Amino acid sequence: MMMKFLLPGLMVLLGGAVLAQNFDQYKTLVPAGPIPRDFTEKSFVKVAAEFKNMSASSTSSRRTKSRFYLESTFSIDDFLSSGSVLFNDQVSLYLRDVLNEVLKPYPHLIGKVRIYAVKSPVVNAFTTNNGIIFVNLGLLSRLENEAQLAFVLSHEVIHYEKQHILNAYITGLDIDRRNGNYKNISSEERGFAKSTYSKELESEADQAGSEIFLKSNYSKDSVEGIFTILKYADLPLSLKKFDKRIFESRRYVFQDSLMRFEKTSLDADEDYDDSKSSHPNVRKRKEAVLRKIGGKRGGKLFIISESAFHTVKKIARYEMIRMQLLEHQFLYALNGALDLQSTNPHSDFVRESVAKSLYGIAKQKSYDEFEVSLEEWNDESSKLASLIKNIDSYEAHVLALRHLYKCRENNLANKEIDLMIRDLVQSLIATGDLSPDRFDISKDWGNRQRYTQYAFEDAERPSGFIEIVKSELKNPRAERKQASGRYNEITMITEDIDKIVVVNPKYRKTDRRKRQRTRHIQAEKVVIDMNEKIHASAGKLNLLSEILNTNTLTPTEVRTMQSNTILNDWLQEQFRSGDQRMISPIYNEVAEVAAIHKTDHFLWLGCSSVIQKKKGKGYLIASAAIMPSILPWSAAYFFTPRGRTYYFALMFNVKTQELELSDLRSMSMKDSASLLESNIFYTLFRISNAKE
Amino acid sequence: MSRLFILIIVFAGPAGFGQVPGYLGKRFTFFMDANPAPALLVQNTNNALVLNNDDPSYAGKKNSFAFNFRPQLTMDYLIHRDVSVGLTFSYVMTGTTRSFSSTDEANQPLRMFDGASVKGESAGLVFKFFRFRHSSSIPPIGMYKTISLQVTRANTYDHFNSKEKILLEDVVAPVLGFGIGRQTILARNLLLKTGVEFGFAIVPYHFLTESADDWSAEQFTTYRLHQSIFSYHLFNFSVGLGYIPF
Repeated sequence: MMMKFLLPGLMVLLGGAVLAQNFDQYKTLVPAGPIPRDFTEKSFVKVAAEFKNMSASSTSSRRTKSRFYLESTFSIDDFLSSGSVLFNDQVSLYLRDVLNEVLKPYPHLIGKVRIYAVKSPVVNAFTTNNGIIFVNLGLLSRLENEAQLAFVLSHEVIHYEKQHILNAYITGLDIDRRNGNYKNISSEERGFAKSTYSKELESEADQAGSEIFLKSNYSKDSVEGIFTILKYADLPLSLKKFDKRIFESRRYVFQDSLMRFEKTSLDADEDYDDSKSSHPNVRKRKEAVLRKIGGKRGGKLFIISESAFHTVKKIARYEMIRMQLLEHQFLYALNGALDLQSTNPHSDFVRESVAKSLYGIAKQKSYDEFEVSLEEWNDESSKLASLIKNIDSYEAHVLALRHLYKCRENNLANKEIDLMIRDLVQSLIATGDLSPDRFDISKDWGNRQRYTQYAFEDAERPSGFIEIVKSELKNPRAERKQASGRYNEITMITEDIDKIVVVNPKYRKTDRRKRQRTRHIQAEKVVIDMNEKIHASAGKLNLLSEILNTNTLTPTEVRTMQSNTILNDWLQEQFRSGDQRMISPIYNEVAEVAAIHKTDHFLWLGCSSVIQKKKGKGYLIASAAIMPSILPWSAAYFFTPRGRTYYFALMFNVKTQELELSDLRSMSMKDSASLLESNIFYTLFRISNAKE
Repeated sequence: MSRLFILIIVFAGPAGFGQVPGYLGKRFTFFMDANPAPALLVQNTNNALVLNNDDPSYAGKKNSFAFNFRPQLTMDYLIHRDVSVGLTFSYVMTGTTRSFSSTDEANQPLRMFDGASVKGESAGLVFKFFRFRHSSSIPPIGMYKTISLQVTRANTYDHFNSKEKILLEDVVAPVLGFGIGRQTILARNLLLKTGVEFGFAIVPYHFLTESADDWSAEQFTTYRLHQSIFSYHLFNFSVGLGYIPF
């Protein structure tokens, strides 16, 4: 009896401790608490359960459904392990509460439908056939109230309840195979037929979803606003007010002529041509839903909690900036950060995001890769876009340095900001645009630097920046060291490595001889066994190893998921960065992960195998007929499939951001446990022996 | 020869230790090869041939699946990521023909021919170069080329079980070999080797340039032995099982 009250109390207390978000020192959202079963259960077990519960009227239908369950289960599980999906975090928990509120009249669905927040900037939500609703943070950042969220969830629940994903798959196959009603369809009409069917499903979800929504106590008046959000989903949020003085000081002033562009009207079309779209256009959807809702009015904008909604929305907006930085959409990130800065002036995260956005813009301008289409920027944001577009690379560098330096003055221990400053200073040194005298405000540098000269005069300690410049001048950035080895076997290891962390090992298997070419279940078993192989090889080489394998998670291993989330974000940004060699916008986050795992060396590895039929069997048969003594060899060749195996291993030092080792091999061999083991051993062998 | 092998391990091994991954750190491989070759150019120990080439050496048996075998033991040691050095020993066993003099019913001298067996052994060094860039796999798994130098010693016997040599002195011939193939792991530490091998036995080539009618019985037996040794090594499939102990 006591426990009955104690347990919820403890959960509230502990939950509160975990969930509280300090927006001044904002930390990115990561999964928390015990890992849900959706993430820990093996895919092949899920598939077996789906097969068991499957109802099919014919062998053909059973085969089609089996294929669907197999493909969709593995595809969903891939997404769940990608690091983008959150659970037990503040946002997902709030989403769950709203969903349960919506489903109150449908108790059989409560618990059956699960919901998770997704770190994606796209304004979208989607549902899987097995009852998972994913809601992107991009959508949450735009919604205006809880009632709108409730409507979106009502719509998504229908996709699950009516098995829309399965139906769309089966119909898609029927269209491709020209079965039944699609017998006489032409090739050109196939895409149209699929689009039409998809739109029918969406309309059904809107209509039936409206019925669910109407049974709730949420405000019916809020629904129209959702369609306005959808209408402008592809456009950046507009700043309420942009004043270039936020970038300026007394004498560091931008010319007004730099803001030559100002567009005042939003002109997104809601009645666009949707003949090839999966959804009806916004106007049609809005009219249909409003007809369904009819004259019903009233209801609450918030039922669970208004403050919780606004906190969740704020988190989503903070995360949007982080995602835009990672996706190198620096102007979008700057726009979002400046907007937040007006209401969160004390947030270090927002201040640093402004500086990091400017850093990214400066780097892109130095590589001539900064592109902006002014047409998509409206109102006040168009002034910002115009200013940023019109400043040159040097000016962008100085502007970024000015903001970075202010962040540094605020927190000297911020490694990421310090690295960005030094990186930009080195870039300017390399182009001959920087000397300590350049910022001597007593000198006249002529027209070009008339304002950049004063960039640091309002800093708390302007001389500190000059000291950085002098120190960087003494240590000019060395020519990037050429990696040893061919492109597929790079080695840049400069220290003894005691420990590595293997991140989310992958395995893919394709058998082109089979109808079901992708061999998901076999591949999953290989991935599960990979831990043992990696540990065994590392053990032989006296190398400590830790594996963040999302295929072998237990409910308590949330730290693995947390590290996986940040590391995958970091890796994708690294690939995006390419030759620009930028300091990662989440350098500090990944450094924390490195500290937790007690190593800077993170290894991504995986394997893919393809099996296909051999060619030239006719010649073999003919040869064996002429020369029977070669029959044993012909038979062996005849019955042995041709196999190719692709192996990759990339090891990064997350502190130096160097690709320390690459091991890329395309082997003309059929895959086997021993072959994989041998490759893993070789990679680890190179790591433990490769100190230059 | 074994001393040479030990020397290679002692001197070449440590030099390459830092760069030789082997199979999970194991570099030594012990192979047992069958080396079957269709009995096209030389009879097998049963004196059967795949084709009747109407040669005097034809022993009268024809069998489409007649093979010669050369049982072989090889010990390979990886001295570099892509290179291994091996000691090899093989047992030579094939067919030949021999000639002897006899008399007919009228006591007239007759030149007689009879099937016989060749027995002997070969030993030498094998250098295996793994074609890393071709198969991209980590040796000892993967495709390879071999160059070998062996010395063969053989003699003609009445039949395979006979211990009595026909020729007073064994024929000793160096054999230069070249092979290509691939090695795959069948099970833990168990390797399968498949490929082909070409061998060039350096023997006197009277059998190519002269007519057998001019030869004495001893010459006939000797030259046919040369021919057998040459043809026996000329081509064979390479099929073997290997074990990786350490």
